[in-house]
Amino acid sequence: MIAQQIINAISLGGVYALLALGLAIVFSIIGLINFAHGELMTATGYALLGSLLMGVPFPLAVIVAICCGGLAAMAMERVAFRPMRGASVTSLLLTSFAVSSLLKVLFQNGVSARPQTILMPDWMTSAVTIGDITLRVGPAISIAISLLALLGLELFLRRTVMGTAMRAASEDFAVVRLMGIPANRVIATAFFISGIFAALAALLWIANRASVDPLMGFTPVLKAFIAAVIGGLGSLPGAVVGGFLLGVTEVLLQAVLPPELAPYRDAIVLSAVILVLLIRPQGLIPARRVQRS
Amino acid sequence: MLSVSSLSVVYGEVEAVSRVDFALEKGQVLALVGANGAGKSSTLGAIAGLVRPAGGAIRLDGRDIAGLPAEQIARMGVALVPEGRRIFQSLTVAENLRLGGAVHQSAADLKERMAEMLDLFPILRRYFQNKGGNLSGGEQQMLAIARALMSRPRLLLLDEPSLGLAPQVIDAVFDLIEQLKHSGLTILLVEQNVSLALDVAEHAVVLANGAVALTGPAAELANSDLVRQAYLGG
Ligand SMILES: Nc1ncnc2c1ncn2[C@@H]1O[C@H](COP(=O)(O)OP(=O)(O)OP(=O)(O)O)[C@@H](O)[C@H]1O
Ligand SMILES: [Mg+2]
Repeated sequence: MIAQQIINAISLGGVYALLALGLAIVFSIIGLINFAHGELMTATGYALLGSLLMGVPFPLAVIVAICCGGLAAMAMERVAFRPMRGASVTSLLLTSFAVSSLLKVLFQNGVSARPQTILMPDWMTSAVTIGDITLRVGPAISIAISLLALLGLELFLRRTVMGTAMRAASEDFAVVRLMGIPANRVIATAFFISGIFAALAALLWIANRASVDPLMGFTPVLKAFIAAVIGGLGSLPGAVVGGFLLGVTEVLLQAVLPPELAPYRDAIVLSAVILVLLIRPQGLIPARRVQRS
Repeated sequence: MLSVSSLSVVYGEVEAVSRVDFALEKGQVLALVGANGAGKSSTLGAIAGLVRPAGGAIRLDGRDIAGLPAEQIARMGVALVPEGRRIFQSLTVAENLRLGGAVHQSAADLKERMAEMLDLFPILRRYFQNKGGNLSGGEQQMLAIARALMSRPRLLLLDEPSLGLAPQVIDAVFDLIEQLKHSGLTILLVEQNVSLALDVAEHAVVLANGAVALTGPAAELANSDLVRQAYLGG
């Protein structure tokens, strides 16, 4: 029972970490908090649903859905944010709100406002028994996928030129361009990664709930935003730490709070967040950014 | 190689550069000097593509590059060492250089250039895996110059390379500029240290309030009353 709770906690933390990382990568490079990040999750969900309905085998449908998340993020950048390049932070923020609302309406009218069921393969919802503990497979897979994605991103950022350029761009984008590295390519890559991570998070989220709906991205991305802020907005290690911390806190509070206090779980978590930010306004691991006029 | 004609740069209401003209031959060093706020960095920024000129032409080997994106100008062989060095603090020396060489087509090319830079700047070899932010000011300046040279530029733009450095370090920087000049590199040098700049340069342009106040051979300007009074302490 305790083992299962811990696994659930880490698994939820991993989902928040993936989402927070996606927000942080984009923020670190163009200073945009993408409120339409949740709609990337939703788009992934519908891509999975659509593929399955068309009879695409499950593993292939998953791949299609992940690609959809990445491409949707790049399309979002190309259509909505690139024309706003150089605009104020507020304008970018409002643009992302607009994109988010637009996509929600599209999903509600184009698909359905009601949740659609997605049947997960049996093995994902099964449980294994080791000795006298029984563990669910889903959360364990979720942890493994989150960790693999984090590892992959770390390798990409450390080992490739584009990854190095992205780290450099979070410090001083103008100088990256002086090196002859196209700004558009750096930004498109950042969005692509954020989309892939939103897609992975969406799949893990859906695996736990077996349904998709037009608003499914809202709550997790709100949590991820909180996680990114606790970690230090724009800081990638901060996003990971913030995500895991938030997920683990939520699940553990759920487990230990007496039933009469359970409804106050989110209030308690948010109070803790405010406390953290009072002590460390820049977040736990502040981002390094060279500020220029 | 470079000819700037009637260049203007405007920030909102402020005209930082107004109708500036000068030209730079291949293999030459041109010094661009002037008081704080005279428009030197804005001029370099316009050439490198960081700021969009409000008017005028910037020709690189005859082709007008005014208003092109910075990354495209960099790929045409123009490298800017920005004011204040602006090396990537959280990246290692190796990574800083690697990005400087991002325009190279082949891995062999890159490797060869990296080796050349490490020979030219032995200090960078020593701190190869250290974070850029941990280097001293002089070492950071050397890294900034090496990073710009990684792309094998045809034209090097240096913005106040001596800024905030100790006298011996300034000497080392100018020795290096001298060395680069002898290797045939074309250099546009912005400097507050006017006497050193006029020493290394063939020609000089004095900017005042965004406009060209004086221009001519460096040796002549060094002897002119205006420059002596304003910049060389009489
Ligand atoms: N981004 C900017 N926005 C608004 N005004 C600017 C900007 N950059 C420079 N200026 C103004 O333009 C004028 C020229 O600035 P510039 O940096 O080109 O001068 P400079 O000769 O390089 O000075 P310094 O010796 O201090 O480096 C100054 O009045 C400066 O305040
Ligand atoms: Mg300047």
